[in-house]
Amino acid sequence: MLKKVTSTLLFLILFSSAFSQDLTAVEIVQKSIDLINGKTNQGETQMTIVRPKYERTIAMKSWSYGSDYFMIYITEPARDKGQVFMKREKDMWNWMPSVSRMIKIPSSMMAQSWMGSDFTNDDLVKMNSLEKDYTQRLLGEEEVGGYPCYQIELIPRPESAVVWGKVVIWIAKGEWYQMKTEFYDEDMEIVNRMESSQITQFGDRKLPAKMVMTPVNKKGQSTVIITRKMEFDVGLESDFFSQQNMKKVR
Amino acid sequence: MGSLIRLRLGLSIFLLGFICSQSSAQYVKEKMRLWGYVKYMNSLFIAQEDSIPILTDNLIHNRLNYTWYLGKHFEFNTSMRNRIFWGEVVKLSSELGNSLEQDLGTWDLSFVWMEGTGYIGHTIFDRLNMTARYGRSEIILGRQRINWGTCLVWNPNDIFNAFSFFDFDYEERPGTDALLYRYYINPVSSVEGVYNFGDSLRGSTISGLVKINKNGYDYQGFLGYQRGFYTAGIGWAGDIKGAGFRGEFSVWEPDASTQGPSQLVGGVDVDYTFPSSLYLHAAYLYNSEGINTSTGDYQGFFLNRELGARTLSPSRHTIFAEVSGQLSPIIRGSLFGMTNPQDASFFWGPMINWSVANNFEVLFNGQFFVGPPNTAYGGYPHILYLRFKYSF
Repeated sequence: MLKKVTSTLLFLILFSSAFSQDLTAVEIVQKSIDLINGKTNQGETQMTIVRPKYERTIAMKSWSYGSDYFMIYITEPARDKGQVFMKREKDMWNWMPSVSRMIKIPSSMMAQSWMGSDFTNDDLVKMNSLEKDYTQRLLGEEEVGGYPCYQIELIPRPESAVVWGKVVIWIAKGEWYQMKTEFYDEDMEIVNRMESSQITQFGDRKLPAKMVMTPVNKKGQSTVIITRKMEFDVGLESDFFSQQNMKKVR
Repeated sequence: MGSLIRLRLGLSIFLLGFICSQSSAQYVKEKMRLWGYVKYMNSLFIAQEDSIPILTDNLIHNRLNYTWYLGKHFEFNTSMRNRIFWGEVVKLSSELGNSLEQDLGTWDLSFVWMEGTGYIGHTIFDRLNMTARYGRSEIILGRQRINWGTCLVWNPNDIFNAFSFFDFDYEERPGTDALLYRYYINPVSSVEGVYNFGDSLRGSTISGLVKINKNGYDYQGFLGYQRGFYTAGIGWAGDIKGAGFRGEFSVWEPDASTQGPSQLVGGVDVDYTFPSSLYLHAAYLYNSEGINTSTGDYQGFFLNRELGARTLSPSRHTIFAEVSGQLSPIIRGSLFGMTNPQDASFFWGPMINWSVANNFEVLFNGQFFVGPPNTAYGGYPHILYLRFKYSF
């Protein structure tokens, strides 16, 4: 009986101390995600794929609800304008108005790069579900881009289907901007670095308007994401993310 | 209509396309939208008999899509397909003008506005419709694309439109003159009824479709009547361990006053994308009315048959395979193959698509047919295509 009580107490002490440390890192990451997402948001973004000899730009309007629902309407380039992508929990569709075709996207297609960029479809979708896929640990503090930041290490959970070995993220203290993120492969070699800048007022909050994703070993290559407009807590419901609205949004 | 007036009409349509291409670059929340492309394509026909010389053909192809958003509930859509053909094959095809002039729909929206020895100018409105939306209901009246397919190569469920895989230059596919009513049951499920106008009820197609989503799969089923035949079908699109898995099966049964066979057309479609962008795709099609012998009149199959979901392939069995991938972010390479296992004849074709600039791309496509005469793919000329496309 006594043994049982002490082991329970010991477990509680160990667990709570581990928990409180974890909670800090989790809380910080969560604050940064809440800042980017709000409960719902609506915006316009452009993405430029930079290669040594050329550049390509894709622009889109987007709507999202939590981390499980989003809709993207392509506005540039002209060839793809009007195409819509929608995700509802695990299902994803592509509406192609030129052929009036609704295509169900299989999950293997999500692991390839998003329209030729340095982001995979998964990066874009899973950016919002860090808490589900990673265990998180506070490593320390460091200044990035003039902001004192928390440095947090994210290790994928064994059951998650994440391609990275680990992710390290720098989050501004008090402002909660994700100033820098480093992606490591399974051999813990750095693969990609993402840096944020141009803090700008969007609706009720300030956010970095520019994000640059750079593959570390590929010279002259990067993907630049610019947020042109963004509004938060715009009152979308999950029902907004429907096949009917895929045909209506613009 | 006088030929001069037709010529002027045709040329002004072309000019309109170019002018609008200059002004549609910037956008706000549009009240209307005009977009499309201009393509130039050169085709090289290489006959399998050495005695026939190589023939070349040219095509300038302009597409204009126009949408007018009329308030919250209405939308008007039209698309024009304007083409000028010239070259040696056009010179040899004396019936081309007549067959282009003929509109297969209810309304005659097809116009040959220029014709001479070795050249033809043609315009067809392949979309012309009005959409009304209210709550969860949607009505579309007019020439429209009704797309019931779930697979990527052959669509036995797509009873309103026919499309040939080899006609790669017609991405938008033809439209159907119809009245469609659709009701959205929930965000991912709907029911719809379509009446495709014919000259009589017997000459029409009328059908209802239900679409639902469950456990990561889209499912659909339809029941209908198509020009003397009762028809029904099922289709699905889902995922097996990340691989896309789709299928479509349709049956036709003659009514009491129709002479004709019962028919089953169906197939499955599987694809997988690797993180490297390597894409593998395979498909199989079964046609109960297809020819099932090692030699047969495969090329004559289409002569007395209407192109449609029932004539997707002349052979009983057809197998398709594709390997594609990004050679760079702006160059996509593909290799397609198709075979009739019964006679071992086959088609193969490489395709390279190069995005030269944001709105400009160059495409090369080869279509090679291998097999003895009287097989599914034997005897056709090889064709090489080079296409330049500017989108606006």
